[in-house]
Amino acid sequence: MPRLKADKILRRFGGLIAVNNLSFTVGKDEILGIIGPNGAGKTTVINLIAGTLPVNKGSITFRDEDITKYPAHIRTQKGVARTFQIVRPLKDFTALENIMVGALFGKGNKLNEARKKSLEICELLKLKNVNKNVDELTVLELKKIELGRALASDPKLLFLDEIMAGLNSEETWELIEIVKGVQKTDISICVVEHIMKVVKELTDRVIVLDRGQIIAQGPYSEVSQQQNVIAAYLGEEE
Amino acid sequence: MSFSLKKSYRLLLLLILFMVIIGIWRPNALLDGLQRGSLYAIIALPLALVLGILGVLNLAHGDFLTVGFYLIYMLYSRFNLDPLVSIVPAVLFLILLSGGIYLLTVKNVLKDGHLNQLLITFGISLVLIETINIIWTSRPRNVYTDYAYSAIEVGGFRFGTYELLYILIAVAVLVALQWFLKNTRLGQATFAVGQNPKGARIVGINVNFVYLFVFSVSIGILGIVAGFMLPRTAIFPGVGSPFSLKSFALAAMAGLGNLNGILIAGVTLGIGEAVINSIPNYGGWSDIVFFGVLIIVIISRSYRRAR
Amino acid sequence: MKKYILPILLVILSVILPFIAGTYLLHIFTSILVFLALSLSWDMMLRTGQLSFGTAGFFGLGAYASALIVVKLGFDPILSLLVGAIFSGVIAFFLGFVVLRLREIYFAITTLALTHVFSVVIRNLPELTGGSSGTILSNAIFNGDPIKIYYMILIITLTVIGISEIFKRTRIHFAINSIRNDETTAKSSGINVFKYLLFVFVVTSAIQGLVGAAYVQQYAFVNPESTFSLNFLLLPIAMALVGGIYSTNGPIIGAFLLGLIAEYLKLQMPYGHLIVYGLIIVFVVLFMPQGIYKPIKNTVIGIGKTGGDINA
Ligand SMILES: Nc1ncnc2c1ncn2[C@@H]1O[C@H](COP(=O)(O)OP(=O)(O)OP(=O)(O)O)[C@@H](O)[C@H]1O
Ligand SMILES: [Mg+2]
Repeated sequence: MPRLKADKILRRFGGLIAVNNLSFTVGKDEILGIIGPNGAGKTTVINLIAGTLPVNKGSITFRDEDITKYPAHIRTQKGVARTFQIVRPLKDFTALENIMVGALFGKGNKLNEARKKSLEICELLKLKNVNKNVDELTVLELKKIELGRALASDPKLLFLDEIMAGLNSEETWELIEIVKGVQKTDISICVVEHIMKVVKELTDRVIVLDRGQIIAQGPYSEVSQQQNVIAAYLGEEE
Repeated sequence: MSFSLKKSYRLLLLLILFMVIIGIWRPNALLDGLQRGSLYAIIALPLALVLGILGVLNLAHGDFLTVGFYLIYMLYSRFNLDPLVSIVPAVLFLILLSGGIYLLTVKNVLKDGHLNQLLITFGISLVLIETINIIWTSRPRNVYTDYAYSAIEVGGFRFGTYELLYILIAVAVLVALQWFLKNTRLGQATFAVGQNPKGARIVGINVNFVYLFVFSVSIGILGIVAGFMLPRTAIFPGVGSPFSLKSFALAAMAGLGNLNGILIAGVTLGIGEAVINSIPNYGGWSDIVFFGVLIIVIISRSYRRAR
Repeated sequence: MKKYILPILLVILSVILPFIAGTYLLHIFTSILVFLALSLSWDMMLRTGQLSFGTAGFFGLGAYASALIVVKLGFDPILSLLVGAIFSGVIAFFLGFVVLRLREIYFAITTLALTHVFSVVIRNLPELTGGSSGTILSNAIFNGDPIKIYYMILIITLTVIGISEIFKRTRIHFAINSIRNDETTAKSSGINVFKYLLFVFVVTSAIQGLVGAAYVQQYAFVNPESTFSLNFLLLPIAMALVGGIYSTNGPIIGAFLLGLIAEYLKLQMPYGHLIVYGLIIVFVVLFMPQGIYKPIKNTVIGIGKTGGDINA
């Protein structure tokens, strides 16, 4: 059984169908890439699976359990974690406390355990200024907080929404290494990315979205050659 | 902002049906309700404008009305000026006062969250009430004019003529406002700011001025209301306070920005109050109409949004 | 240990106060403690990001529940305090299912409207509540002994301070702070937002009910006008703002500061001394949104954050 199975999920915003009868799976030990032009519906897919938004139709099965009707916080507790494309730190907390929130409520840790575990995660992420307030942090550090909070909830499936965007090349490589390390700990990962070198480096398989539907899937090297993919991306490719 | 009757036609139809039924059942209550409702609507209109354009819910709204009352009362008791004549100085005074208060306080919290905005207007409300308390104490006051109690009789059915004015004023204020927003440069600018403040700024509209203008002139309108109401109202420092919440109830019921809807909502609730008021022994429950409807409207909206 | 010295001293001082202060001073402190408890309860709700204008409403409900159960059913006054707390808490629990769906001005206004609804309902049930003229209890609690009353209020207030500290020091702190900062992040971190909101709403409403009950037993009198008075909303808000919101110490400092100032002003100007509260609210929101506690603390302790101190 795949770890995640999305079956014909559909989401409308008014007249717009952002995700249209989409079905896909994520296997155990897999890093799946989700790519597609701006507005293709990638973030919406994450929102649907993480429960940030409800689906209008379709079903979502996670580890053999139908989670379609569960609210977001239950899904997180069951092991679906996500980062936000536009970082959403908790501004009255320090970096460490931000990460602790994931451990406390996603995992259900006690305060001490949560603090200990969050410090470990900071170490893994090479996050130094753990006691600084978030308004003093750099972009990279904010991205690490997003990732750290998700990891602290002890996920089995992790969605990363363009975590490399806005970073320089050195920082990007640093994060790529971190993500690769994470995958080795029995966490299935979905990366949404515009930066193709990241997709190429990280993913085992990609699905290409356009207007809420899959237009191609397979290993990146194959998919990136397909005519319809190139057409969808026209003027988008960097 | 919108004045389209289309938006509110369903409300309007319901209202007319409602009025016909009440008119047959309790004609006095219908008349009373129409008058109350018109008053509620003119008081609520400026609150809705400020809410729609500045995004600020002014909890001191009703207390500016009180300030208007007391100013007119003072002119009456000192100089024996007729309340209707005092409308002019009252409007001017309220514009200046609210403009000053706006520049000193509200302007600085426009970018803050709702918390600071609510708190600051809450504080202003208290300052206004207590200032009046200090100057005039809490003793109720009133103004007597003959014309306020004139009445006519039609077919054995006697009713006051003065309060009928309220209905006319409500319609007049609504029409004037509508005309202003459509046909003057400043009105169009106001409209634009209400739609999209950033865009308005880009096309060169002085948004800060529009805010100041809307806030002070809205409060100025309360001077007109105060002049017409005073001859029939006993005033005390807290007399205006309930109108803040009642006005918000109407704005919420009509839907943000729907100015015609406010008149319809005001008349509906006014009649509702009047009907309950006219039931012997249960008159006291009429106070619950506004707050009950407010709560129901807000909550049902939240359910609709969730779907 | 050093940081516990001041709180312990203050608690000792408050316990021996009846032996060193006269009746008048004791009365003032009793009333300050009442408002302090309300102020803290308002602040605890605010920590979730929800601005409640319902403080006076739940205060009034508790007051009426306590008064009526003593008058009509002959309950023990001390037991009736619990009844007041539970009644307000239960009402808040049921209302919470609808009210807590609302946010921002809609939540604030609905709680204010509820306060009015409570008072209208009570005014219109004269057989039960005495209507607008209210109900008089045959006897104040402890036969009106000011020292015992002071201790009763002190215990209540210390309990509320304790609850506030629990809110600051446990996972509750992490949950409600997250909800205030960003509800979406809170949800996707696994926080059951509604559960925590309901919990805080019920607890704070129960506190307000408890304080209302104690207040009415002290004065042996309820009527809609004075029991649902907006003062029980206004003064607590002003106190928390002045001291500093989102903290335990802020409302404490604010309550004593404003309580003493107000008492002085009441003597100086019989009409309109409340204007000071209005001016203070406006001033604080404009010029010192942090209140006075944090800036003072930072200058005393020195700038810079102490590592991992969740009570900062
Ligand atoms: N909350 C919303 N309300 C209305 N429309 C929305 C909402 N969220 C997304 N959309 C619309 O749905 C479509 C898909 O958006 P989505 O954010 O999923 O795209 P994306 O693939 O993540 O794009 P990008 O690469 O720019 O992040 C877009 O047209 C967007 O405007
Ligand atoms: Mg996206």
